[in-house]
Amino acid sequence: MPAGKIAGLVGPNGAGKTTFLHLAAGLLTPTAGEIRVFGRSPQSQLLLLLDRVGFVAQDTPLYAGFSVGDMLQFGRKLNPRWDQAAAVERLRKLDIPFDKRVGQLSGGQRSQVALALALGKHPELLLPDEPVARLDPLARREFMQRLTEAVAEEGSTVLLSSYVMADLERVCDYLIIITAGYVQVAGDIDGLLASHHLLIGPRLSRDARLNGVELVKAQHTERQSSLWIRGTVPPLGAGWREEPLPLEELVITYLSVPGAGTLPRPELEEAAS
Amino acid sequence: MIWVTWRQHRLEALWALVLAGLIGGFTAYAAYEVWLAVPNCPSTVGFGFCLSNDVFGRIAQAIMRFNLFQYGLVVLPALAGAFIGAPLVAREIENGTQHLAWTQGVTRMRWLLMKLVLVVVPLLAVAALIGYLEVVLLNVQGSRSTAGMSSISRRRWSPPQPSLPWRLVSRLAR
Repeated sequence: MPAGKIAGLVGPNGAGKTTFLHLAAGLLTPTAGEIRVFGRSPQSQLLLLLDRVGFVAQDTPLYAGFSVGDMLQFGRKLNPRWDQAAAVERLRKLDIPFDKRVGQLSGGQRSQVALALALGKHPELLLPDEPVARLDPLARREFMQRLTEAVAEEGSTVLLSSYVMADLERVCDYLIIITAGYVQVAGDIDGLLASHHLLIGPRLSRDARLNGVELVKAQHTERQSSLWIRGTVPPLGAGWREEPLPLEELVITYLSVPGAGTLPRPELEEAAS
Repeated sequence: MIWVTWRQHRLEALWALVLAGLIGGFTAYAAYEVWLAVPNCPSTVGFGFCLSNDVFGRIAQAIMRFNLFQYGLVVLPALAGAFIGAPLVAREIENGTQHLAWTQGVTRMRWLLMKLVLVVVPLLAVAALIGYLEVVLLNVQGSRSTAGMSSISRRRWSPPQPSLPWRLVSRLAR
């Protein structure tokens, strides 16, 4: 995970997004392999991790009987690094009434309270798990906007899961696609967009060889062939054209071919450590 | 954590106190009335006759007859288990709030420990108090036969006196 960036975690339902976030938040222990957060295993020093990680669980659970003020008090009492003034200020800007019960808030307000609760301890790593899944498009946009603002102020790293690509595209710098528990694609969104192309041309024979082209997916109809390739576009023959490949299409392409994948090469820094 | 536990369970604490107060009050009051009645009660007459016949005496009689005091030991623990003990963690999991609670700056073990201590210890204290009151009542009741017998030889049996609360009330009314 690149530090200081907003990363999106996408994948079909049941792919392991929530499991992964729970592992990172120390709610689960891995049955195989290991996970390192801030260079440490979460379980070994859970308290240290909990102080630095803000987790927003799926469907933003809050105590329905608590008032908004009580909810902030909850955060204050349980987190040594809590910043009450910042949390109050954040909710005041959104006109959320402090004496109203959490159960009576709208879905959008509720998720803002959950976000404020997670941001109250100035987390270095923020892990929202499908925070906008149940929100209407306007509330979605509002939530994402607040999230990016807050992250820009705090400079924290974010790993956000969602199955709605449109949410991610607007805010994320980095993309991780997971399928059936495995990381399929991980990389900078700009880099991914620049290196993937969709080529459409006359139908190729099924066993045609493509030299110097890394093929992600090929689809043939009676008249034409569509090739999703990675890398630089080769000189195009007659009848071939390049079509735009937006991020959503790119993700769907990878999800439809679970065997295909691309992972970033280990960086020098990482290799040295 | 203390504040959080109090905030989450204050309604339950109120209910537990009201119920425990009622049962404890019944028990203590009945014990007191029986204790007053015992010395002038012959063993041949049920102690119910010795309890005075005014409103408060009748309340004490009703408590004794229907064994109301026993509910303290039988019903209260069951209620506490069903409405306070079981939902202690189960309600969190039902609402998904355990993921919220366990990702604050308190480890899960400490969270559970604090909840158990802060909820279970006061409940045990209340239960112990009620249990003690019942032991007192049973002792008073049990001493009836011997005390009654000795008193019959010592002095004549006198008809039941008005109960103490009744005497207080009638004095205030005057």
